[in-house]
Amino acid sequence: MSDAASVTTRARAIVDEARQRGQDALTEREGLALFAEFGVPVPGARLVADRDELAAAVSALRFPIVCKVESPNIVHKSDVGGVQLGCTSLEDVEGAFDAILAAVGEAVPDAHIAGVLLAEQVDGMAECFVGAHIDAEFGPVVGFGLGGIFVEVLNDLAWRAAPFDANEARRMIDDTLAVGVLAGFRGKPAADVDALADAIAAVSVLVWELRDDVSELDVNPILVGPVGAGVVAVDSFIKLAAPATGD
Amino acid sequence: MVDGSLDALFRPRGVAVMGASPVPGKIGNLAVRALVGGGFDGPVYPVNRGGDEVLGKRGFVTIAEVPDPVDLAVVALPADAVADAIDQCAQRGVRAAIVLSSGFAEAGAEGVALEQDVTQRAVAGGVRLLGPNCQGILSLPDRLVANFSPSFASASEPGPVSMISQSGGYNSIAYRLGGLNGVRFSRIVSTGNESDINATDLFEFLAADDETRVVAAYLEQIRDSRRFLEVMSRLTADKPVVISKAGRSDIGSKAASSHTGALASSGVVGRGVLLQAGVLPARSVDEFIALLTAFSGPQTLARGSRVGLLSQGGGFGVETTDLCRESGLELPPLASKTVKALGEMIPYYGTSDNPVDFTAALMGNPAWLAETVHLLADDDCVDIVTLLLTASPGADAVGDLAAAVRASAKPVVVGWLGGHGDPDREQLHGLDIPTFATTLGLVTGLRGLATRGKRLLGDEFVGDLRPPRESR
Repeated sequence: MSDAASVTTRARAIVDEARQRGQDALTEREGLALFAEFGVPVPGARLVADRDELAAAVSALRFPIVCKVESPNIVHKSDVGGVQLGCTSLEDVEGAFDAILAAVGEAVPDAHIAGVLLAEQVDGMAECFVGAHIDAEFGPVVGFGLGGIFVEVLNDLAWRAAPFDANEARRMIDDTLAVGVLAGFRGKPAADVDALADAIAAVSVLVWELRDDVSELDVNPILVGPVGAGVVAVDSFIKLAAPATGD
Repeated sequence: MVDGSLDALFRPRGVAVMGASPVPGKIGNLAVRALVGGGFDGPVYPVNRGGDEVLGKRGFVTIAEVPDPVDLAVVALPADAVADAIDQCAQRGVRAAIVLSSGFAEAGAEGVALEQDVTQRAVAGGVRLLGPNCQGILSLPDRLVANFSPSFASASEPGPVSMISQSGGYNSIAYRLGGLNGVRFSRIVSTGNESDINATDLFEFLAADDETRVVAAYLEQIRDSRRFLEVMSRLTADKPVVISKAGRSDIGSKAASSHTGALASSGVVGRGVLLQAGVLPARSVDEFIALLTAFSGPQTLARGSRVGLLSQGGGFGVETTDLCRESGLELPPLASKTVKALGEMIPYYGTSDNPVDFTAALMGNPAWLAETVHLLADDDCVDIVTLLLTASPGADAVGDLAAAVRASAKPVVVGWLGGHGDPDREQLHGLDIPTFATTLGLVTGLRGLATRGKRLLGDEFVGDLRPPRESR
């Protein structure tokens, strides 16, 4: 089996398991695993179900750490107290772990909680957005633009039909206002546009390969570091397609 | 899969008009009139129930009686008579049919069924079908005008641009507006409901067509979009392609779907996909014509985004400079030898560096024009030479200018503001040098040349080309 084929097989297994649990979207951890399969860089992370495992998990990660509730039933984690940012010590992480379980337990008592995901909190010099959906006319398409709130405010996304290569991704970047931000300004260094282009192209391969499984996807933000420092897909949402009948 | 089956559509040896009418104003009459008036040099056979003569052409009762050769049928019959007509075409060995008739998929469920029936009969009988519900085609290199729109009553000499449209009206207007700028056409096709031949089939034909140098299209719905992308990527590598894709806005999409019974795609996605395939997207018929004007010139490969602008004075040189900058184009200083040579011609109150201002003194020295085009064509600081005229330099200077433009290895773009109807401008058009009538159109054309240059040359392209931004 070729590498590409085995990537797709493993990716589909992640999707199938989530579906079998009745999910219509991937959890944070599942999303990170899916991205990692296709070569989209993700932050280092550990899922912890038991408080006693926190020390071991923290020792494998770099501070600061962000803690997020891992549950197939909770999409908007921060709305239910499921996210704690900027932990810089084991004590911080333990406090965050307790606070998250308490808040979520109160806000969504019926939710299944798989644990708390500890992830390295990364900084970038620019926040970008990569999204995808199945277009009625063109099939799987990928959009790119500045991330965070700028997605809505600027309405400046460039779109392409998936899959495409890094050269095409580079042209997408050039078609948006992001190109000015990524070029560096006011003494800021230029951003790692090559790594960003690779990541956008990798997302396009993901949505093409999983076009029957994933109906919508967005990464907001994907953080872009200075040249050579790469990119990290920090926050993502992956919605699953209704399973094909007779499958 | 270029199988030559569309040859019968564009290069028929003889044409039958089914539903040909002796009554002026009827579509079956207009179709015969267009064929005869367009100067088609093969036989034209009117077919109608009475076997009536139409416009001096002998009529026939059925297509079976029509003598050889007959490769193409133009069908101007009521919708419910079309299926039978297609069967008769198949039996007669007619290889292509243009169905002008309406009342098919655009007209509800019954029409959909009728269209399926007609299309199945065409496919089974080996007849390629254009339409239904279309305006027909022009194939000017073959002097074939199989289109009932009066816009094409005076068919012009053939030119480099072939145009495909899912709206017949778009073809007519683009043909007329393009004509005003000196844009001339080769093949023009209205695709209608695309029940058999669709836009992508035609793009594939045009890719291999020696009579087509530039491709233009107005599209509302792209059927079989993955094949479209593949065909289009190959086509754009070889020929510039300008497409206006309708239905970008929510309301625009609704208008498009009620227009052709097509489900138009959401917004900006279509534009992005066109860019991906190397297409030059046009948002309006204005941009469409501007891009076609730029790509109809003798030289269209811009090696960079650096414009050398020459104007005749007045505010238009300044306005064009501003528009160029907002469009991501550069106006660099010229080489010192160019500045020196220009300085020897232009009066002290003009400007001999970029943007060059001849002042009204050009009127007394029209030979400067051709001379300056030569100077800028040889200046390594310039990728696109741009000339902005606000009055005619005279008939002699126009001839010299055309020769200088043709001799240039770089694109030379000519604006001729306020020149509508000027016989000198028409003369320049007749020498295959199209001109722009507005500054915005001209700069849209410049941007298009640079965009395609960058696409084709990649890192070899000189200068960067940022997304256009209006000054705020």
